[in-house]
Amino acid sequence: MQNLSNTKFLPVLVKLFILLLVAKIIGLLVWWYMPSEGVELNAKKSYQAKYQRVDFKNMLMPTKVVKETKTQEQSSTTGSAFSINSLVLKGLYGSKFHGFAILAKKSSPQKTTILSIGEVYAGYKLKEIALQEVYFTKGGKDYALSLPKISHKSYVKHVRRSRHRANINDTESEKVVTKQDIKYYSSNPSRIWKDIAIAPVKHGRKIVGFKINRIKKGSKMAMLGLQKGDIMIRANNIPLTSFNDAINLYKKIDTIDTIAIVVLRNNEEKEIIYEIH
Amino acid sequence: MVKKLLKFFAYTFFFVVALMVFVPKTSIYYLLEKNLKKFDVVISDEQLKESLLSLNITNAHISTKGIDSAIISKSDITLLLFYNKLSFRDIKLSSIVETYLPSKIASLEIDYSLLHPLTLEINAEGDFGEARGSLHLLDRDVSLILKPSKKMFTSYKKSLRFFKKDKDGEYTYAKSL
Repeated sequence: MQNLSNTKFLPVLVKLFILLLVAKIIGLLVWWYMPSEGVELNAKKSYQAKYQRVDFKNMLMPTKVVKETKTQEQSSTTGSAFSINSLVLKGLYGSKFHGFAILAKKSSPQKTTILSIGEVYAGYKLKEIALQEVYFTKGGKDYALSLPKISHKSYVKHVRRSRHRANINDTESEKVVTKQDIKYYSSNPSRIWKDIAIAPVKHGRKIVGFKINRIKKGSKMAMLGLQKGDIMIRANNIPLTSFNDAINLYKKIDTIDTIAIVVLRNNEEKEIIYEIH
Repeated sequence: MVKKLLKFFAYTFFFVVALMVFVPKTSIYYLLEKNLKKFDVVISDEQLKESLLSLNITNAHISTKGIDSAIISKSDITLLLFYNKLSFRDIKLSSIVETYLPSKIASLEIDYSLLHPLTLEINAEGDFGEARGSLHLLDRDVSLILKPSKKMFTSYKKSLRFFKKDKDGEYTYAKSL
């Protein structure tokens, strides 16, 4: 030890040790005063509408539905067997383990039944609701039932006929958009900005919507029912409060089959629904 | 005298290195993130790993004004006070930016050295070609020299309009921030 204390390196080592100690203390002080967590972008929102071609007329008759469900449950317990292929999924509402499915038998498609999660229809217990289909269990096995695909032509016919019958005044509230229209813009995004110019509308620093400042006459954008001066405030019930909301909607457009855009037109909210086929 | 001066520099060097080893790089990064937020730039989903003298960041999603702008696979931040380097590898620009620029940037390096205390040196390489430039910290002047790739000439001619072609055939861009 004496040799070590007499060595000329000891003062150097002591100095280095002091410097290390000072550096460590500064490091701890920095750690104490610096933020302990970073900044993350908000969770991404889903633009898929939580409804799919629901015939709301059926929902207005709850007593009938309950009766029908009960009779179906009774019939299932008495042993009458139905193949899953003999059922038609008319509509669904909700996601995962919350919501309803509207079912009918192929033999009588007009006679529909609303089924919530856990309820039984023709022996099939509703287990889960997905975007385009529902899942049942029966006898320990899982069954899937999908929404029937509607062809573009038949859908247009259906929309036109129903409009005529119901005498809908606002012919611009429902629009049919083809996948080709979407491809037209997604293959070259610069076309979008040739046809339309939008700018954020702010209250203070917060974005509350996107205003259409220019829309080219005769363009596909103009055909969508949007007008100059419209302020888009919501898409599928999700408020458009950032550029990311608008861009996300654009990015996910390939996976969405229904878009409901709420615009402010002449200080009145107007909903424009687009069915993408 | 020279010996004393050398000793002083040696101790200073040792202290700076020790300081950089002990300083919590992750916390400083969080402070940087909070400052970037003021300019509407947010870095998300990244994984941080501290090494002795640098901070390694993987899979950083950059968004500007809420718009997803780029994903940076690998980043290294080395801060030594007298020499600092930000190095980014495998940058994938968002499809929105793709309209103006090829989406893949192989590398982007930003250097700051006490030898040039008032300028940041920038070097980048990718599908767009090669670029080198500098940012003057006092004047806030950015200047870039671009050697465009064939892809730029064929598919991104419009973007080249932002650059001026000089006598040597190089494309230059200058802007005051």
